[in-house]
Amino acid sequence: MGENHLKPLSELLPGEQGIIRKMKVRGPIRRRLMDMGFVTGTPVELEKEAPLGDPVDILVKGCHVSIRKEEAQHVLVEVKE
Amino acid sequence: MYTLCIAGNPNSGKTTLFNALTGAKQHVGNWPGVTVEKKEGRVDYDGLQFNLIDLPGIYSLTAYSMEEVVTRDFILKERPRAVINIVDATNMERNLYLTTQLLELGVPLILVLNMMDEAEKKGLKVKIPYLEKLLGVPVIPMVASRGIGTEELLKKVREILEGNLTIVPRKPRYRKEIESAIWRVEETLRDLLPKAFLEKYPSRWVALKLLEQDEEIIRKCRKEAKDEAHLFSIVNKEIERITKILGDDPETLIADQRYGFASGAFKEAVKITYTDRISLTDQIDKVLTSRLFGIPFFILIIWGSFQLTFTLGEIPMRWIEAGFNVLGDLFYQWITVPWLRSLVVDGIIGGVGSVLVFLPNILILFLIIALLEDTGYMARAAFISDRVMHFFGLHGKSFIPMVIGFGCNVPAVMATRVLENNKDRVITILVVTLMSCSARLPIYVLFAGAFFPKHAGNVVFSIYLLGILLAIVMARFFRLVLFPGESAPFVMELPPYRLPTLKGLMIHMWDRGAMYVQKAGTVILAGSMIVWFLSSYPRHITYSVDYDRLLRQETVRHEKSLTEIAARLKVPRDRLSTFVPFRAYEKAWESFQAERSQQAAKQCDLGGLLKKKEAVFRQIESRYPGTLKLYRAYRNEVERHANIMEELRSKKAAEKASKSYAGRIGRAVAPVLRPLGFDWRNTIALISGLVAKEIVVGTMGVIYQVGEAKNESQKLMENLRKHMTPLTAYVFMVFSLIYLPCIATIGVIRRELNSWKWTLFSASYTTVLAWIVAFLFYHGGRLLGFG
Repeated sequence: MGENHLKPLSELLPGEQGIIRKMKVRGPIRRRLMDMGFVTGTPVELEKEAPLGDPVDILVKGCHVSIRKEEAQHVLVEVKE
Repeated sequence: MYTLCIAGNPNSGKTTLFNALTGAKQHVGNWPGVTVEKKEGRVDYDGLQFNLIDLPGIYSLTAYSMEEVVTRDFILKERPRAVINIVDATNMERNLYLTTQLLELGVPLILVLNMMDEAEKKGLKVKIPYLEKLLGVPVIPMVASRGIGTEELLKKVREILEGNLTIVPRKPRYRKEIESAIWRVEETLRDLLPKAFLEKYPSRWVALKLLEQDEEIIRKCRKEAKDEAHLFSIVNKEIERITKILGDDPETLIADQRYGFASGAFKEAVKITYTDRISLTDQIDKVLTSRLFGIPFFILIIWGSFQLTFTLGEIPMRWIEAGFNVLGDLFYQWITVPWLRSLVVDGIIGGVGSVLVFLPNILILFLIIALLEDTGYMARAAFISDRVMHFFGLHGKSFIPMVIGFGCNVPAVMATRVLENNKDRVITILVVTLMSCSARLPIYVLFAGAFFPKHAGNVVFSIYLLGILLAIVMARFFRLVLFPGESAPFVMELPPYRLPTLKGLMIHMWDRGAMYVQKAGTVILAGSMIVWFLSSYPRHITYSVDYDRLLRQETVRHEKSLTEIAARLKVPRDRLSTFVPFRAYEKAWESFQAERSQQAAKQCDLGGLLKKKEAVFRQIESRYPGTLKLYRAYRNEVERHANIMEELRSKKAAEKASKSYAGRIGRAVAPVLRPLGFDWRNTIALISGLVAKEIVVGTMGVIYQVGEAKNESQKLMENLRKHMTPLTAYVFMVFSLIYLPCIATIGVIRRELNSWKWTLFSASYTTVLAWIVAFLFYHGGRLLGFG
């Protein structure tokens, strides 16, 4: 299965939902994201962007988590139709 | 006495439970060696007594943050009799992730399901006995903010402490490839690690952490293991094997499975009777973080906080100042020995006063910060401002301390506690002092008024702007140079909005206030005493002129003139000032003066007033012939005398200032500041500003021999214009903005960063930066033909 049908989390539109398929984030932040619920197979929704466009508010496991787009771009999701 | 602890996610109500159990019997300190806050309290319930520790809020037990390391080290090393794991019942699935890791530590655990009322409103039904069986630990439903469930919790604690209940937590099992890897690493560990180590750190847990590549545990094992090469070759082999078979690294797989365990427990034990429509939090956020209203609301809230802190704080501040003045006057009269009087009044009372005067600001500010944090708005503020702050190399949460810095750097430094990441905190504290605090404003007002009267507003604004620009430049610079290559990720939960408890707010405010007075206070007090000593010693100096003799001579001369006037009027000397015609003249004179100063503002014609006064004078003269001429002589004499005395005293004070230790230091340091166009007078003023920048203007007054004349600031401005050019005045403002904040700020930085190294760095870099920037301005200005 390739990554072609996957989309960076940062590119979801507000209100769009998806399922995390690949965590390409590296370094300590990867662990932090996993601790906050970002693991493969988890449904996520991009709730909204901050008023200035960055960071974004992600709904994951019932919690709102704010992350920057530069990090969200390495979380690949399968968009829910 | 037994010790228990509370662990849980941030925003799960940990501190609320802690406050409910311990009441006011708590103590806030720091964990040794780190700046993580340690809260300790005593629980006393119906004959049951134990110590309770409020561990920092964490999401996991990795080595990601100091908070996590502190938590797991405490649990493993101190072996509390039980760990109370508080879980937000409205958010169980994510919260249980930490629970699975606490279960793995193998310590007795009590699970507290907090905010059960909200969970029920959300339609969640928890099968408590079933959950207890799944996890192997007691589960207690609770609403900590209303004290519901605390009694049941304490009963459970009593059972444990009295030995009537043994808890065997059920540890999560992993898929067989991982389990067999754990088993093989464990075997090796038992051979290679000392018994004492494995008594503290359970072998299964250490094996898991090694497979997860936890830096802390790897470091510890390297130190303790007999044959570390062998140990790590086994570990690395297992990691490689798992990665090859399962297609992902063990760290990710283990996290996945922990979530599996957590959501498994959640799905089995919790019944969702109906799904919630849009929550209140979402509705509030539709406004507060929306594209349209988010920023206006943000600015409004920041502005409101700032206003409240400084305008409301000013009222009790004035009381405190007045109180200390009264106290000072009292002791001034009581104590007759001059050096002791100066020590007590100027040194001790002045010093304590300078500490306490900030207290109202700090209390109000921390009440507001607690309110913003406890309601959940703080996270939104960071969410909104992160875009801008990130550009400067800072963090969204740096914004609030930076704004507070414009009021006063002391609470601003304390407000950086909201930043979890220590690097962000260090950088924010280092640049927050460049925010021009209100104590620096009088300096700008004086110099801008004296040298740029037509553009004073713009000039002062340019100084503020310069401070902001420098803060941005320095923040980016420090990010690059001090912490190169280290990313400062921004992963932050936006917790649901909640109503804070009054008790929580009060405790928070009180803690901060007490901490400020205790810790920062000592440094500030010591600093103020040193500067007092330097500026009032040596007590006896040899003056170039014998001022006391001149003062005495002047008094004698004055007395003689008045006696002459009295003799010519044929009134006794001591009745001169109450002589009826003189009193009439004086009254006319005073009303003329009052009218003149009123009219001066309106620029009315002075001639008219003068004519009016002269008419009244002639009237009095016609009633008491021969008095006017002598009154004029009397008036002139009185004024002349006042002027001469004033001048002598100011000259004496100025010479004393320049010959005191502070003055000598000023003269010694002056060559260093000469390239900036400053003379020794400027240097002394700047040195005195180390105590508090408010003092700079006062010192200027002393050095420029203004004394206590009525039109003090006018005269000071005149004298300044004689000694300085507009360019040096501007450079002086620039230097005042940047160089070392005040002793109070230094004391707080020391307290907050818990490091002399960073404190000294902050003090020295600001001063060096001030020199460099002032140098550039001075010489740049001269090249452009100013000054």
